[in-house]
Order: sequence, then C-alpha cells, then structure tokens
Amino acid sequence: MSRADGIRDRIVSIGKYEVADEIHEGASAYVFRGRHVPLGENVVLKVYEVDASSDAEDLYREARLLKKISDESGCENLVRVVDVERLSDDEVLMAMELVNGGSLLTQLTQRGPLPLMDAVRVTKGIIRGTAELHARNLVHRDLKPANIMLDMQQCAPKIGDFGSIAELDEAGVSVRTSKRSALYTPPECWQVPPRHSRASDLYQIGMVLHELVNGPLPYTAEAQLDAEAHRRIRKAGGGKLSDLDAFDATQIVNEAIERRARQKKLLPLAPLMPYVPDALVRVVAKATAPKVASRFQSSTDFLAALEKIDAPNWRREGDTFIASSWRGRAWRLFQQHGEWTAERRKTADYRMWRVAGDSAILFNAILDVVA
Amino acid sequence: MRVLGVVTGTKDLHVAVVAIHAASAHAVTLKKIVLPVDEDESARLHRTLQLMDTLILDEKVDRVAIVKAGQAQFGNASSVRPKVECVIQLAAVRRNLPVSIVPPQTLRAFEKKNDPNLLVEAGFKPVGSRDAALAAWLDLRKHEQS
Repeated sequence: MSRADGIRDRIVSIGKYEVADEIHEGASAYVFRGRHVPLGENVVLKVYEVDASSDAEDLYREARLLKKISDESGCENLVRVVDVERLSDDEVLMAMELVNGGSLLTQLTQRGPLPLMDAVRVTKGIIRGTAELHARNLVHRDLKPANIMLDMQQCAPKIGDFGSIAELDEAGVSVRTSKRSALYTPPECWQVPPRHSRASDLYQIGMVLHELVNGPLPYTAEAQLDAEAHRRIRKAGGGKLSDLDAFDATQIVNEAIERRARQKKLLPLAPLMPYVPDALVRVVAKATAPKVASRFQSSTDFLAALEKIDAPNWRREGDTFIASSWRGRAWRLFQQHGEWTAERRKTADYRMWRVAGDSAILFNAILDVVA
Repeated sequence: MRVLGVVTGTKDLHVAVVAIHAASAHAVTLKKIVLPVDEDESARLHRTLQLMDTLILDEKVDRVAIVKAGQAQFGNASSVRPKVECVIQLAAVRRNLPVSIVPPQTLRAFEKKNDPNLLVEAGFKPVGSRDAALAAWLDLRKHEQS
C-alpha cells in the first residue's frame, strides 16, 4: 500500500469525507478531490506533514491564517477553508473549497496562453488577493501558476497554497526569502541577506502575467544550468538533472539560478505574442524589473497600470489570431502568400480590411480603430 | 490616524494620504490615478470600485474624505464625477470606514484660515493633489476636535 493510499484510508475513517481521486503529490503535501459529507460541499483535501511536538498554533497556522483573512475580507480571490483537523500525530488535514477550473498551470500547459484581456483580468484578481495579504503585513512568497486556481464560473483567480506565507518584520518591510520555486524567485531573494518584500510578491505576479499572456516560460529548470551545475551533476553520479533525486536536483538548480541572478544573466522572458500592446509589455517589464526600486511599489500602482490597458481580447487559434469583439466587430488576422491579412465581421461573413507585410502594423491599426 | 483625501475627475483621481507625525500633518502619499478604461460604463465603475478597494487596503487608511463634485470645467453637469464619488463611498463602506464629503467652498475657507505649509510635502503643484491633501487634513482636524 502506498503512502497516498494510507492517507486516503485515514481520511475516510474519520467518517466526514468522501475521497475521490488524488490531484497532486507535492513535495510537502498530498492533495485529493473529495466531498465534505455533513456540509454537502465538494472540497480539496490537503494533507501536510507537521512536527508531532508542535503546539496547536503551529499545527493549524496555515488554516487559521487563511480562515481569518477570508472571513475578514470576504475576498473572492483567496481560496476558502472549509474545515481542518488532525489526521494523525504528524499529519494535518485541511479541507478547502474546490475550485472547478483547476490551476493556471494546468490551463497554460493544456490550453496554452489565455486570451489577452482575460489574462489581464485574471492578473488583476491575483493582485487584489495579494493586496489582502499585504494589508495584513503578510507576504505569500510562492506566487506561481501552479498555486493559483481559476474559478470558471466567476472567471476569478483564487490564490491557494499558503505554505510559504510569512509575516513581515516589525518595520513591515521584508522577511526572509523562501526558495520554493526558483524560477519565480526575484533577484533580490538570491542576494545576501535574502529578503522578500511586497515588491517581490509583485515580481512573481509579473512573471505569472507574462506566462498568462505568452504561454509557459520558454525554458525549464534545466535551461538555467551552467557549467558549474553540470559539473556538480556529474559529481553526484548523474548524466543529467533528472537522474538525481528531487532534493539534490532542486539544490543544484537553485544554486545555478542564484549565480545567474548575481551575474545579472537571468534568462529573458521573450518571445512575446505579436498582439501584445506596448503598454502591456511595459507593465510586464516594470513588474519584473531586476531592481526593486524600478518595480511597482504597491498593488494599487500595478492594478492602476493594468486598468489603463484597453485592447482586443486576442487569442491564437492555430496560425490565426482572433478577437471576437472589438469596436463592434469581430477581427481575424492570418498570413497569406507572405503577407498579413486582417479581416473583420459585423454580422455575416468576414470581409477584407487591410493587408500589410508585418503583423505588428495591423495589430496597431486595429487598436486605433474608433467604434 | 491616516486619512485618504480624493478629488474626483472625469478621467483620473487625485489622491492623498495625510497622517499626523510629530504633531503636524504630513502628506505621506500623493498620487494621480487614471480611471479604468472601458467602453461599458458599468464595467468601468465596477473596476473603479475594485481599484479604490485596493488603494484603501494598500494605504491602510482609517477615514476617507472626498471633495464634492461641483460643476464641470465648462459649466455643464458632469455625470461621471458623482458616480465615481458614489463608488468611492461604496469602497469605503465595504471596509467599514467613515466617509465625509467636503464641499469645495469649505475647502477654500479652510485653506484661507490655515497655513497649507503645515503639510510639509505641500509643494502641491497640481491643484487636484493639493485639494485632496487639504480635504484629508480638514477631515483629520474635524475628527480630532470631535
């Protein structure tokens, strides 16, 4: 019997839950889809390990924090806690609301980038959820597509996985860094001493925005490896990163990214989708600026910058770019005989609008169309 | 005690956060925020509500003072400003914050009687920023006296 099966049996034995399938076996938690029988609510059951000697404050820290914030704020962008209890001496079970759309990572890997303005809308939701944490002197420290769920009914993102959440220091400025997701760790968190501030959370949201608009990052952890990292992999007895166990692999990748951050050689975020307006490119660049001082300093600044963006909701379907509604018309862009063609439709069929040698000319021209 | 002062415009807002420090009032934040752009007016107002809600959270304010929308620049009745004013009130009520509406005349009278230089950061070039800070300061003063 695997560990997951044992946990599943223990959950069922409580008598309060029905367990369906396992969603995710993470580094620090087992996650199942299930049902809270007394409340009649579909839930996500997260089981995480704890130190058996911890007091109640430590054991239920994550659950209590989440419950407090969601009760006080009623924020729709944070996952709601339904129930929490001790499963065994060293395991705690937390039941959270089931968000029907899955994680943003699933969306990105299975369906590719979101339509342009949908991505902006989702990012604004993430910023609002993060603002609720920041207002309480908390930082999330691990914002990435895998930790953000998408509620398809409300089209609202919900921030989950509060395992890395931390309270800011007395001055309310920063806290020690968490290096859980190296690809999303801002440069200042690799410095000595590593500090994570509100601006670091906003950097991570900038990375998420980039991914939502342009698709998953154009590189994986392996792309970050340098000569020193490859030497260490060989020394550890492996030919490539995947030959090592998860702990060693993570450590080597973290160190490689740390060296890149210090040498200011972090991999670029390009390529961008051709329809991304310059205003949004500037927002992403500012949010992910290596220097903290050059970034958005508050959630309001970030949100206000996104609120200024008004563009068609472009999406890609094969080699064609489509915006279903912009200035009262549907638009379509595709390449034909080496030239880019823009067509538009009001009621019936698409009709030719303009032709240009470069798609950027057409995207900008459509942006300037008056209703 | 931190008070958020807001001057509404048709396309943007001037906001100021005034706080008491070392027995004098200081403008700790001065910002011009462009209102959300959307063809659909209801969507625009909803987005303004969310933006104001985030601002209130970010600035950790205790009270909100809004300069009452008067006539528009060319004397016509502005439909946008009263709506934005209402949206700001809703955002404040959602966070259980008291709101005061400051008529422009009251603001001018207050300005004459009090030396605006008490607001150390008041090099206020844009009139909007200056009025937002003054409204917040006036509200702060009233609250302290009550």
